[in-house]
Amino acid sequence: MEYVAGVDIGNSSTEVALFGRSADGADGEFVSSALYRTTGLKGTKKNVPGVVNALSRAAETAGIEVSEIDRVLLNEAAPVIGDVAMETITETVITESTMIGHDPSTPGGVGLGRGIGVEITADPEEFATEEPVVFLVPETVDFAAAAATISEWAEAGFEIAGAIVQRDDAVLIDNRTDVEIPIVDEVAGLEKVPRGQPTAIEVAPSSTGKTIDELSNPYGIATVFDLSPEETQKIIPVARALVGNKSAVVIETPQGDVEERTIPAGDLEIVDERGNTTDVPVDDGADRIMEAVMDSWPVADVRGESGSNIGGMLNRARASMAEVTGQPVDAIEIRDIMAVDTLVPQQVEGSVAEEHSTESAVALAAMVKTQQLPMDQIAAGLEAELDTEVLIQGIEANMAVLGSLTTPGTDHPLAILDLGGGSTDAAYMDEQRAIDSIHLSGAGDMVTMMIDSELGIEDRDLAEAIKKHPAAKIEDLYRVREEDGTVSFLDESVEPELFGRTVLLEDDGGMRAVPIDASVEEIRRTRRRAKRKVFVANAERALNLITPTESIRRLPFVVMVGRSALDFEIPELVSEAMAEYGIVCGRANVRSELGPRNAVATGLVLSHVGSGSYLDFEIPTDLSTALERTTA
Amino acid sequence: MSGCRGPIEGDDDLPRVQVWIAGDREPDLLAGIEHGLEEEGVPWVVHEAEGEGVSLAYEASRASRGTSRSSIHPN
Repeated sequence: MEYVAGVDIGNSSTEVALFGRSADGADGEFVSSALYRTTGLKGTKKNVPGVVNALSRAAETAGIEVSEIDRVLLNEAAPVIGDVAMETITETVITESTMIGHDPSTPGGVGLGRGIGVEITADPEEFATEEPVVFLVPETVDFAAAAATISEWAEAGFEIAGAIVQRDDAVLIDNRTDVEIPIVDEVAGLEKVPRGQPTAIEVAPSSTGKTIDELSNPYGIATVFDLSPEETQKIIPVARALVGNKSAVVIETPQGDVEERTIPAGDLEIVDERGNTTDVPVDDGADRIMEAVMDSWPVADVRGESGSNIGGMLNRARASMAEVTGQPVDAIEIRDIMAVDTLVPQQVEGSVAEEHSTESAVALAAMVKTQQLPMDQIAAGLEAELDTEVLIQGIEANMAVLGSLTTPGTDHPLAILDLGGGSTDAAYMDEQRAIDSIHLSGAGDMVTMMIDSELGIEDRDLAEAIKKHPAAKIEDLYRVREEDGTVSFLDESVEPELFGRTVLLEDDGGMRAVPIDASVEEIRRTRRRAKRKVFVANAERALNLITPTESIRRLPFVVMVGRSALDFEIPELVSEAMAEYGIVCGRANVRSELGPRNAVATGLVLSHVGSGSYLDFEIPTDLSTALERTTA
Repeated sequence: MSGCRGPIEGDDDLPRVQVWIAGDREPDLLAGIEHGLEEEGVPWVVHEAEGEGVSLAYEASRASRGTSRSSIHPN
């Protein structure tokens, strides 16, 4: 037997298809497939250990030694890499302590109160009973003492409107006084709260799922403080920042203000292939950026303003590609930008209780391209390592199409969508079996970044896990409520530390706690929105650009391959969107058994050994002539 | 308050965190535990018991409907 291995070096994983054929070449079949993580940056000599490992795994599955592999076929990897960045374009700033809008887990009492802020240790004889009082309880005052003081002032004839507490004591105080008031606790910066000012406090009823509805409403605040129409306009950022909270405090101060500012995020300079330049301010938002990108298509280069996050990201991507290829940084081009509007929780500047406000941001992904990756160095490294013949066999997109055509039910003309981690690629094989391809920025890594930012996680590993796995709620030790509302009863109890927690249901049956304050519904909504904004938008963009007619309605078959096509819901989201155009779009099933994996590796082998029974047509000469290439 | 010391009323159906204390004196820790449970709105019940800490926690777990337990031992 002669063994031929096709090897696809991707951004995150290296795949192998191992083919065995009889000495006379008459009979042959795929004998195994394997997958191993890509070592080093794609297209560099550091990929060699990963390739050797993947080949060894494939050989082991086939029951042979890796040294028995007669020929290794490498794809000419697309010389593109992607990178992502986030630019926040608004911020909320408190110029004096006018608002406490945080969400303590256990506020006390319920309702809306308005009064003058008074230190709880103050002497009641210094105050008139006509003015309602909101107590400020520092951490030095015990909850029992605070409750007793509240009761004493009430008995002395004061109207107690509420309490703002530094420690996590709201329920403890509420349970020890008969005075029914709203109490907000865990206000870390209580010393910054102005005394003697009109103060409104609201706590939503517990166990009802309701949020505050007066202080999150501009007219509610206007009613409480008797504001003029001009003053009401100014407190809109306050109301907006408090939407969705279960408790809040608003304080009227002479100079106090809360304002929403736009942060200058710099300009993007988009250069088209004719040399025309379009400048777009990043803070104009994603729609404006994408409009400029598509108006400038095909894009020759994109530059970002130095000092901005975007400028830094573009320079970083350029530098990475320059390092890989050994070319000067100036020779590296940014060939695509994808922008998505998003909202991110940010700590309010000047806040007293670590309040967060939802700010506008723009997520950007960039696609960097150079002339060619140094694949010959990898081939030479492999030959030295394995002492076997290594051929650079074919262009990645062409091989992906060939491999995808082994999916039952497909035929050409056909378009493939390669949904990866760093880029979304598309290729199209027309009636004459000529293939065209395109590489667009924005894929799985961008989705991860958006989940990370929108949920305020600041943990890329956790965001990646949220992207990959459905969420669920552990209702008790034996019951799990899944995202769709289904309740599963378990035979064995979950780990005690998962009790009541939101978890991710991992592929191996394991559960991973999600240590953030977000409901299952919020996690699901954020995850699906990010996937839709990136993958559905990019699928439409890629197919529109790759289709000769520029109308994706004319595409008969669209097949999804790549790492993100393995996702449990991305193919479904893309298929759903494509169905509106009346085209058949689904996840590939390479060689009827491998799903969306191994398309390029399989295509490499097919282009070398002929289509056999895997394709119902002869492979065009230009897709198999790579055989004649000189070995590295 | 959701707490309860001593035997629970016969008709009390509420699942509670079982806090079992061994020894003659209540440890200072108990007050902290009770205040924490109260602030979070978690029902609990405190029992006096005899025995070693881990086995007490196990026995408490068998007695708990809410399947959350703790025991406090002077040692």
